[in-house]
Amino acid sequence: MTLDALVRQTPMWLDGSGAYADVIVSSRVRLARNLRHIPFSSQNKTADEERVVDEVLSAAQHVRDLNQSTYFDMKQLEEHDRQLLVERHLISPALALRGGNGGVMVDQDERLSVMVNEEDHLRLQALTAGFEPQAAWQMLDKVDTELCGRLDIAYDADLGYLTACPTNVGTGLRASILIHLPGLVLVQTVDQVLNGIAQVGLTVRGFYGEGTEVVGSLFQISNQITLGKSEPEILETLERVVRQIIDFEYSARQTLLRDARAQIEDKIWRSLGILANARVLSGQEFMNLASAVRLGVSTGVLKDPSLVLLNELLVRVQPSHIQRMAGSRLDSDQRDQNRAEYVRERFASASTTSRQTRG
Amino acid sequence: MSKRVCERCNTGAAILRLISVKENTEKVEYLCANCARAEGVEIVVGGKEAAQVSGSGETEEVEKGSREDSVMCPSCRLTFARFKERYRLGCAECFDAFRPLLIPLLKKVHGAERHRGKRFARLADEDITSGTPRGTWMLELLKRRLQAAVEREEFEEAARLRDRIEAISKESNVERTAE
Ligand SMILES: [Zn+2]
Ligand SMILES: [Zn+2]
Repeated sequence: MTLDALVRQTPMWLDGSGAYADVIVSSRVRLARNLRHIPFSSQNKTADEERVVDEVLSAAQHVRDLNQSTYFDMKQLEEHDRQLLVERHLISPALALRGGNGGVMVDQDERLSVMVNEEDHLRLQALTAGFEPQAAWQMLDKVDTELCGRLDIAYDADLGYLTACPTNVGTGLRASILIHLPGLVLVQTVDQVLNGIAQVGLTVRGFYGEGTEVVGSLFQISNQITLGKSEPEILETLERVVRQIIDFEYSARQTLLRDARAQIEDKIWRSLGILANARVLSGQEFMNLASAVRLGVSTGVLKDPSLVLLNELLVRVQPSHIQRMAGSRLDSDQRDQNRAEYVRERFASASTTSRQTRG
Repeated sequence: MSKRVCERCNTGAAILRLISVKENTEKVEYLCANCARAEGVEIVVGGKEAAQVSGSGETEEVEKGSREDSVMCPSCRLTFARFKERYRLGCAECFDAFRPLLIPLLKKVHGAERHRGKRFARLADEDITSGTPRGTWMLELLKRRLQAAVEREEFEEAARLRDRIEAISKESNVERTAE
């Protein structure tokens, strides 16, 4: 699979399916693993990195779920294309920056990826649509058994899987849920709801990951603790808390539509109007408008666009995607124009299709 | 008077009180001889191990300065001081070298010090290479490295890479005809 093919396809984790798709965009699970006999990234040399790549790729050739996948070598990619993989949640910003002998294996429908030579030698990841962390874990558990079982993994009977950062030691597992909370943001209780999360060992971040601000009412909720609990226990805690947040979000949406229906509907329709007609659209503006439209779709105020289209745009309108589709270097003004044009086209064709199917 | 138990291993009898000062906060722990030694503390109590010493009144007080900072991993040569700066371990062996220093840190971060999740299991040797190897990345990668080696005029490396490429091509051809 080439990068061009990748850009054109909609990854499976954005297909709008799965449990609670009206609130949860996707679930992601990742595992950190290292080889025992090779220094971790902070202490290693080029030769060490090459050995890691050799060993991991050789082993992966025997793993059914991985051996049809594509390997993207960071050295072979331009900065923009590395960034494109970040936008698709296939690699971390750290790997994109690091370059070197890093790389990533990506399966055909982008559900599985294996980063090589990130902070840890291996970072395995599974992505699913909707609220399905258990399904993601089962998929990843199997790949981990198959791939890491062929490698000499750094594992300690007491401490579990050994990782470069102490915060990942033990299971090496980080599960995160991408959740859309426009109701809680609008009724201004989101901070209150999310504040207690640290006490149960979870954290909240923005859509773009660590240290980024929240845009478009999208939050990532993930576990912080990796040691002393089994993988299913970690996932259960996360699921329990997220289910509560989902309930809070549902009741916020109900309250809004009961007490301020006209204002909410107005906000939703205006947002749709701007997205469908704008000539210049910044990334930030897109995120906020798309959030209102998503609220409209998931509450039944709007019949279209579909959640799939909104999900797809979430990835496609980011800078490196816009750039790649244009096929040339763009400054940010030009990108804002291309973004507006792309969104307009997609909205126009979506509404034509739905008018036609409705007869 | 009941004997005080070591706060690290929960088994040995605590023989000393260890006071460590870090970032202006003082931490006090009661440790057994083994755990204290692991902390880099030398124990000399009248020439014999002070196993009979118990209770806080009789414990030795040891001021632990920056001794922990100079602990070094024998494998990757990372010092504990450097670890504290970057908060990243250097290799698997660092966990053995720094274990007594890491445990309290892990306890603070995770509220636990023991893994209870999936256990690593290496596949049986015959399973490791079972099935038809697929994927062309290895070949592509080695070819790129070969080209780079030739450009750098590293002919020994180039020859080694050529052998590997040949071996892999042969292996996958054999598998393909066998299918
Ligand atoms: Zn002890
Ligand atoms: Zn080390």
